[in-house]
Amino acid sequence: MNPGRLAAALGLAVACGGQGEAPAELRPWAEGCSGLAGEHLDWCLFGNLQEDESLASERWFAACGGFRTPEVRDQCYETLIRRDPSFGRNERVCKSITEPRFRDSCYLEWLRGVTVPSATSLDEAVKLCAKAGALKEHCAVHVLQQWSATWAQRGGEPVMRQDVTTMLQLDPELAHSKSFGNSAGLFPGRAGYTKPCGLFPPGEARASCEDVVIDGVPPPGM
Amino acid sequence: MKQDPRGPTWLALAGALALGGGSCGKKVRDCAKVSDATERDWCYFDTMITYAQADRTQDAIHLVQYIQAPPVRAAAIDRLFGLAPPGIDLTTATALCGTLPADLTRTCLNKWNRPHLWTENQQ
Repeated sequence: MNPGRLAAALGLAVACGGQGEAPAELRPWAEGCSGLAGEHLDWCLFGNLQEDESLASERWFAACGGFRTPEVRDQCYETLIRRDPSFGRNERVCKSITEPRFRDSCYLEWLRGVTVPSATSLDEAVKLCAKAGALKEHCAVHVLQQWSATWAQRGGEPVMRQDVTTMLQLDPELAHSKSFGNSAGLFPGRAGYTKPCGLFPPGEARASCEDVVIDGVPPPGM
Repeated sequence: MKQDPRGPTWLALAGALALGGGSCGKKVRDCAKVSDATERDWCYFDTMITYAQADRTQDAIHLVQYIQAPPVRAAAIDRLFGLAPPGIDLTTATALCGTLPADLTRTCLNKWNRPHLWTENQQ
């Protein structure tokens, strides 16, 4: 939305300014936010910032630092890494987020986009996923997806089973993750292998693995 | 009782839209008395946060409907997604985001994606 429309939508006039002032780093996105202060001002500025789709990551990063409301600042940094996972200071950006869920989300995006694809071993990739905190199982899904592309050239189904086993050994909590169970059904199924659902203990994760349907057709092992 | 496949939150949202809102207490009535449209919107925004923080997700969803200016409503939905992810399924998120102009809807739905993962994790 352009700033003029925003101003009109907010029904604000320049004359009613003065309650709060945008910090210098956020002034380019202040149109339509005059008259607002505190959290309201920050949300208004953040709304404008998000509409600026071509904004370079460095400028976005600088802008985030101008928000005084922790919730807005956290969302701003998290959105930056979602827009550009390879942003140079990505890990530092994620570390600076105070709210655990947005911090985990930031790490997940960074891991998914940059770190996991460059991991040289399954062991390394799974250990990196721990940085995603409560979202580490979703990181593990990306790891399995990435490694599924290597199964055919590394020996096929036995290698696939070994990879899933290795991941479950490295992070036993994955054995209880519905998302990971689902991916353990999906990626081997797509590759035409028998799904390794028996590697999971009875429970939701195994059920999730068994229930996967590939492109409308039950995969081998159903 | 047979459940609506679209989910209970969607029904609450639909109800709020159809009836023009529910009873959300004194603070909401105070907001309604604010004559300036912008101030009134932000009053609803603040009250919505209060309800979401008190796990009164349905009331918070109702309040979003009272906010007239799209940017303020977008911010309110954004905030609501962050505060009350367990109470907001994809259908509800789509309905909420669908009340925004098209150019804000996509960003709005992208914002739901991550709270969805948080919710999944809590199950």
